[in-house]
Amino acid sequence: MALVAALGAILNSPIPPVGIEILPGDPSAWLPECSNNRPFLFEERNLGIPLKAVCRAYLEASHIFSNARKAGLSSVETGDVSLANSTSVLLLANPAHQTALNTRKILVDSGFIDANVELDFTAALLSSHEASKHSTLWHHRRWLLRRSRRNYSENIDEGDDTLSGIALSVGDYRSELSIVSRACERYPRNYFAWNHRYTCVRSLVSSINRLRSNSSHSNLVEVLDEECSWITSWIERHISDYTAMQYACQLSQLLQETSHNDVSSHLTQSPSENVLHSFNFQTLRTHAESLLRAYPDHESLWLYLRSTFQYSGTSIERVEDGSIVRGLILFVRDLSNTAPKGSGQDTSLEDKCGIINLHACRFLSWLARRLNATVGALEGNGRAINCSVDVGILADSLLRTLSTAD
Amino acid sequence: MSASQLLIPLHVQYIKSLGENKDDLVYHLTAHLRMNAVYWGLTALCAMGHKDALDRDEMIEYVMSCWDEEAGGFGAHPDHDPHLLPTLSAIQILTIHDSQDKLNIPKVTKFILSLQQPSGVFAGDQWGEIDTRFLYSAVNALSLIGQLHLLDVEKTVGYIKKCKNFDGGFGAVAGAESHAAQVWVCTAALAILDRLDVIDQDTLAWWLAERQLPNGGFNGRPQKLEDVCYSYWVLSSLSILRKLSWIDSEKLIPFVLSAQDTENGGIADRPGDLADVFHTVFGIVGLSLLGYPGLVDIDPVYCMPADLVASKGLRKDWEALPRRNS
Ligand SMILES: [Zn+2]
Repeated sequence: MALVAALGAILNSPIPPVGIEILPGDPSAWLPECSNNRPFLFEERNLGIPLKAVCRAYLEASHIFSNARKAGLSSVETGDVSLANSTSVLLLANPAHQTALNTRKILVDSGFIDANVELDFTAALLSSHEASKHSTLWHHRRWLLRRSRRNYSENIDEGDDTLSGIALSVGDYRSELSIVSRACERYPRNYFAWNHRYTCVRSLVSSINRLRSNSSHSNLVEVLDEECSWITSWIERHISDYTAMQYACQLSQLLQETSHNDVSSHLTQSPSENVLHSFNFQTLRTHAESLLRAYPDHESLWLYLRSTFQYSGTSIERVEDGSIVRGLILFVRDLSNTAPKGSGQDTSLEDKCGIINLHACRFLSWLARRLNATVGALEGNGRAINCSVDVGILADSLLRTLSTAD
Repeated sequence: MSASQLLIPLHVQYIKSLGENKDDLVYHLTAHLRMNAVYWGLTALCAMGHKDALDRDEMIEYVMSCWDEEAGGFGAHPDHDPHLLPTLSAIQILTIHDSQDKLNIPKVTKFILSLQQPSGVFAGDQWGEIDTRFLYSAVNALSLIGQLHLLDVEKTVGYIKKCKNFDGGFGAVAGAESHAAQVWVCTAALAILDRLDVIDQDTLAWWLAERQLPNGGFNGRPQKLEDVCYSYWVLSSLSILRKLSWIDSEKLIPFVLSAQDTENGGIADRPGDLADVFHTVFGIVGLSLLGYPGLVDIDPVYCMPADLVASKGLRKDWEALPRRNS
């Protein structure tokens, strides 16, 4: 039980660790001298715990937790200490332990745990690869933010787990965004981290909408501006990350919707209007095309290009003169023509060429469906997407369909 | 043993062994998923025609030990709070064992309905995390206990519509990336509600078929690794849309089989990884949808034995591949 108390004291301290790492193997490998009987390292607010110690602590904490729950939640002060300690250790080993998180919410509500300290504690948990993929921890943060920050809107739809209508500070936004970035570096394509980011950025836009000429307004606009540059460069550094590309499109959509109401005038007045204002579907399309030219074997980039058309108001169907579509077909045909051809000996190159061809075919068949064009090679059978059709033939027949339509 | 066929006796043995080591750490670390795991194990056994390999009375007793009388829902384990996910699993287990009489139907119905939010989505529990998985759990559970008429269908469908992306797929919440598992929960919920018209069926089927990788396996999102469980999410969705022929099952079957643990039983997410009950059930029910010989039909909407669902009058218009003889 001493181990849970010792770890619990660190995890629940008013200044929780900034990082937590579970170290492989048993304590003796890490702690040859093993001073003051603590089978873990705690230095400069970083906690390192050998796996074996975590396992032992987890079993201890399970018993303490189970007994404390039976005794009744928040009945006595000492019960609160053992609940806080045991739940923090349970979460350390098993971040998906939802009942432990629920119990901590009760302790926050009762005032036993401070919401800001709890935000720091979850940030530390989220620094681990394993923990950051769990939706419940991200929800816990949003719950804490709603609980501890002021509401500025009367009718917040809490039921939708939103942060819009909550008065988050510039610091809050920066901190949430950076926790997400770190989680996505450690656990690529982190679904719930990206969802959290989108929730935050929606809240950011609604705060900007509300504040107008307030002094903190321009600081918030600056955060949004940074976000637009950040996502662009993130995509360039993570060219297989379709999740990021989807997020970029969502962000662009959000800005586009926002510019329909009076916020656009506030955005234009900001000193950093350049990045924000050039962040639109046209720019994203150019971005996708330029990346595709360099990395045509990356499926994500093909879907990025599709997305920029789908989201934007200028959907393909509405472009009557077909110039964009023609340009696109020629772009795809060129791409697959200039792709490296396998020599018959180099199989990896041959594979790569096959993959480019497959993505180009899928792209053109998608385009054909958007245009309601019937293309012989693909007609009426979704299965064709997994066979390789000749891109050149596909492109030419699509172009012919277009000219007949004209 | 060779991995060129499904090792049914070995997998039955594997599932039976899962409940045996109650003292080890893994058992404790997975307690928050126990109710789901029991349902996964039972469904896998049903699909292999060995429903009785686990003791029925013991299982029902476990389920009832997780009932929270005050809340009206089930937890995953007696030490855990009630939540929609284990509540659905509990109802599925009791239904498979023909023991719905153990349920306090008015109470559990009230619990489920209390979790619907103004937007139509469901929270998993009183703390308010939302996800289309919870929405599906609610719809499935209400349907199994004959209480679907109490649900506001328009409101529920309204939220699913908000999650629909341009690629035809659905995400966990409005604005989230399409994800094969979320596609399945949304598609299956719409099937139960007789609202498949909400789906852009061709667009979605193309997106699903594009999840198949050159090695035959499926991923759940573009440019992610193949994973056995995603073959089920994709197959069940395509089966509900009656487009299972759009994928190459001849390439998928060997991939699933190659992820079997040929020594201790069970199926892993991909070859070489550690087997678990989650990938075991979804690997097996996926094979069942593909007409793999020797397996029992599984309903892709409820993920339960098809004849049971049909006997309750709940069968929807899905289509699996015909069962093969060998
Ligand atoms: Zn999986």
